[in-house]
Amino acid sequence: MKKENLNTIKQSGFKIPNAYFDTIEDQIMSQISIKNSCENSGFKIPENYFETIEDKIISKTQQPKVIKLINKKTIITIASIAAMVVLFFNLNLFNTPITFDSLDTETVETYIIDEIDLNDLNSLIDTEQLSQTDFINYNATSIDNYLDEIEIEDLLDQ
Amino acid sequence: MTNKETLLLSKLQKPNLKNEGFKELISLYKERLYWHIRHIVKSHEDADDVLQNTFIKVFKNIDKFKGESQLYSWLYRIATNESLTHLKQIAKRQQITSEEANNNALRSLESDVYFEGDTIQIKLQKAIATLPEKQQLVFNMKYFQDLKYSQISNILDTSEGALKASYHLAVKKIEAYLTKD
Repeated sequence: MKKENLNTIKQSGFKIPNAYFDTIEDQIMSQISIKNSCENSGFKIPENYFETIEDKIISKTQQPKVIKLINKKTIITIASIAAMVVLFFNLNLFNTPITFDSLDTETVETYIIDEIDLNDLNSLIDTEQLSQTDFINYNATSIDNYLDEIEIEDLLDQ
Repeated sequence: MTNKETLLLSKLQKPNLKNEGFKELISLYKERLYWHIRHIVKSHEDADDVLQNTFIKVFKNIDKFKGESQLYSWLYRIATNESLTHLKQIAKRQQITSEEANNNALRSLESDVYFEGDTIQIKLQKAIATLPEKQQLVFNMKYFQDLKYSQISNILDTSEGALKASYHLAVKKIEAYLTKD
């Protein structure tokens, strides 16, 4: 059975890329040509470089963590404090109380002339305190006395 | 993962053994990763910076490594990303394009004390610089570091077939560059 199988296998199963044998000479020759003209790369290294590199790298991995003084958080904190201070002073300026002394007469005059309507003045008078009796209820005798005191000459003079 | 890697990883994930394990990890990979990085960033100073950053990143993130991929491919992937980011940062800092930054790096190679090349080495570097980023990576990993396609495939997360095509294309272009004029 085994023997028969072996006899029937005509192919090895191995395959090669397309055009492999057509290009192989070229490829080998190209490599030889480069190797011949240039055996080494020319790169050199300092003496004992590889002997010391481990310690150099290990010392770098053991370095304590450096905490930067100026990091994002500090900048934000400082900036917000600065903003608050500026804001505080600005608000304070607006809050200075206005006194009558600080108003100049001209401004007040212009305000009264331009802005105040006569009717507005009514609102300034308290109507409760102001009753008709204030005008009617006068003392008759005091008027008589007053009239007596006026001399005719005075009237004539006027 | 190899036995050595598994052992190392279990050490790295235990707080009391982390430093010891980390030192072993650096010793095991420092040279391979250095040369991988160096071929991308070109100068020794930059390679030194990137190598250190790579290992520091590994140290910080080792707890997140779940062992789904192999340790070496995880390390190479971090190193590759760090190198490419480093190049982009240089370009950004100088407000120039990545190509210009690359050309500047090549120009300074000529006077670099850690570059011992004559015209042909410089020319090879210039030839590599003409390739697209992915082809540069594949070429450097295969040609200079002799990594296997399967390893490169794990690191760059690209199929082996695509990598082979990339490499052969890169080799052709470089040969053409070197043999012209």
